[in-house]
Amino acid sequence: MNTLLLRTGWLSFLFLAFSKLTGQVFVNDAGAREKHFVYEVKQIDEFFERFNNDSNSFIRREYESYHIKFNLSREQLIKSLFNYESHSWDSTLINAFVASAVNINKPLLLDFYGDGWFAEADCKFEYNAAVIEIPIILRIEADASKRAKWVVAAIKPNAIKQEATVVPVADNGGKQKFINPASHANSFIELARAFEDKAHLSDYFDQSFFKRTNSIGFYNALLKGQIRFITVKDVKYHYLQVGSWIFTVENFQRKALNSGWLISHLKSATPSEKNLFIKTLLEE
Amino acid sequence: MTLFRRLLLFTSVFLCSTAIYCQDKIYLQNSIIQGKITEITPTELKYLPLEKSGTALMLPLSKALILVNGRGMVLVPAKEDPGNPSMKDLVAGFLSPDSNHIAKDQLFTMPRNKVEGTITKEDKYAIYLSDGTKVDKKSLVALIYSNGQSMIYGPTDQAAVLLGSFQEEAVRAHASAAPPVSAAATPADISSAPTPVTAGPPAADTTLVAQKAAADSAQALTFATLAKGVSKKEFEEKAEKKTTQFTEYLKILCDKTAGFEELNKAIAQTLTLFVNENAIIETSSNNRNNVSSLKIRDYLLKVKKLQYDKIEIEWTHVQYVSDLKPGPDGNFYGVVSFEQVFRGYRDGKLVYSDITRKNATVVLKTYQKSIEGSTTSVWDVLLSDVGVISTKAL
Repeated sequence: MNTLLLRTGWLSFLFLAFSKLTGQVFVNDAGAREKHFVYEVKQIDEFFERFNNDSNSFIRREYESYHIKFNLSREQLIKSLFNYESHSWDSTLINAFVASAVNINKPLLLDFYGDGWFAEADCKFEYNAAVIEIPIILRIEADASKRAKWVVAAIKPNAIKQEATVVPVADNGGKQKFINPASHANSFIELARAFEDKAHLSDYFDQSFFKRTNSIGFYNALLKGQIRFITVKDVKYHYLQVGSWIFTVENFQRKALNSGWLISHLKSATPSEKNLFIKTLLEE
Repeated sequence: MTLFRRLLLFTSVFLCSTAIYCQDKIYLQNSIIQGKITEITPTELKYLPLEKSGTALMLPLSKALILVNGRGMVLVPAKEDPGNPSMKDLVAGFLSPDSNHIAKDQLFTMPRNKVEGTITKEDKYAIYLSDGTKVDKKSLVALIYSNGQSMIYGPTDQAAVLLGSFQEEAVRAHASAAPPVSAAATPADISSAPTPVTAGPPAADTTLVAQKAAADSAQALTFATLAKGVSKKEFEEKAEKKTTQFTEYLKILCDKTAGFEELNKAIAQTLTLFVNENAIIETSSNNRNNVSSLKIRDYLLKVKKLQYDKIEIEWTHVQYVSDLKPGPDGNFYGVVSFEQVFRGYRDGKLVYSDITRKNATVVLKTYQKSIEGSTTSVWDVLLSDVGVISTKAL
């Protein structure tokens, strides 16, 4: 990719971010593909690094590799993380969000290992000879050394018959199996192995899972082989980590440069509204 | 020699040595700039170069991996957060002419360690301190002398990761310490909490420092602490090498001229690239909407049976490698995103082509290896699940 192409990309990037342009900028040649690859938010990890304006971010390093000064402000980077192609935004809301995020006295930063963010994986299962969809809520569980894993935190309402026969295994600290902390990047492909691992099934679940609505029937059905995991259809992430905001991030695969993991919903929320959101999400 | 000339010579030598001792060093990826750093902004660094004193030059801060001032203070700009009050203090202390020299020589080694003392002897293999400590040069990453001179051993970016982790530790220590009361400028090396030049930050800001430090500490723990010195660059190179090897073996499997033994060997060699045979490979096609999943061995057997005479797999040269994340098992997990152009030929004609975005999970394992009687910590990167993100027609 040449320098001009990258500069053009940046212009498009800014234009997309600020003018809400609906543009098809992708053409089938190697340079255009590479440009698209550079600007797309490819993994949720890249969403984190752009939101936090990490000094070692991929996009910074790409600019450096082409000897182009990286002079994007954090404000510009955050604004570029919104889905402009298929959503109309209230600019006042976005501006208020960005202003609070970049507040020099109290900047808002996302922490992968922190609480307050959740993955919602819309999974397909085979149940009673039919394919059903069950959204599964996962969260990152990290110890003091940042050794992390994904755990299944809750199950959304589903068609599985609830049977109160499960004997939840108490967490005695002896959990051996886990969903690796990078599993999200492959749409939790690892759930296929986890849900087949009946001997260690409870290892993959959050300790509080068994106290939540919809949990017992689902767990029993998995344990008894009454449901079979097929695949993860979609994943989205809910963030309640920063300030008085709740936002959702989804993956937009399209030819435009404004693509990949982008904010699809944003709202300001009081602490009690946040608590209610979490309770609803986790079916408590 | 006249007295005047002797005096002149003495003065020149003195000035020269003073100049050398007082020079700041800017370590770039492959070079070092000596001079006097005069200003550090969130994006740039201004300095007076040694060879062109009087001419102020500017450098993008992102180019400067490690800064060492003439008093032996170290600053890793990549770990700098301009909004962080503790970092502001650290930068101010770094630039302040009133700061003292560091008290002792400092040796930074792998696995992550810092040794302080007075160097009494140095030979080809080791550095000896006055307290009897011997530091093997093979483990040495950075050496900061108390007179302000410094040496970086090995790749600069790797040293920056290590030094950055100590810097973050210092910032965290500062953030969690009681509100400072001193307004005096005192030496602030990277191993101790920097004393602010101005009054200490208010309590609210201290909390923020801790919040940011918590976010940053994840990276520090990932590469410098827990991975015992594996730099992100090394990890990326190894991860990319493994994914490339995987592709090369796939080409052999599709080569219709390859013999039975060669094909089986290719399968066996491919399996060694993976963490185990439970790794899942997703496949897609332009001709169907869904994505299929197969365990690695089954996938390879399927590839072997593909009805192409020849395949071409072309990579876009850009890849995105996520940060490594430590798992509960002590291994590290990351994901490489890349695009592949696939072309399948039959009877010399192109019969199928697509471009697929893939995400390959990679696992960094560290383990002990015995080499010639001594145990060494080594690491390797292995492939795990490979997912398909999207498939488009060419």
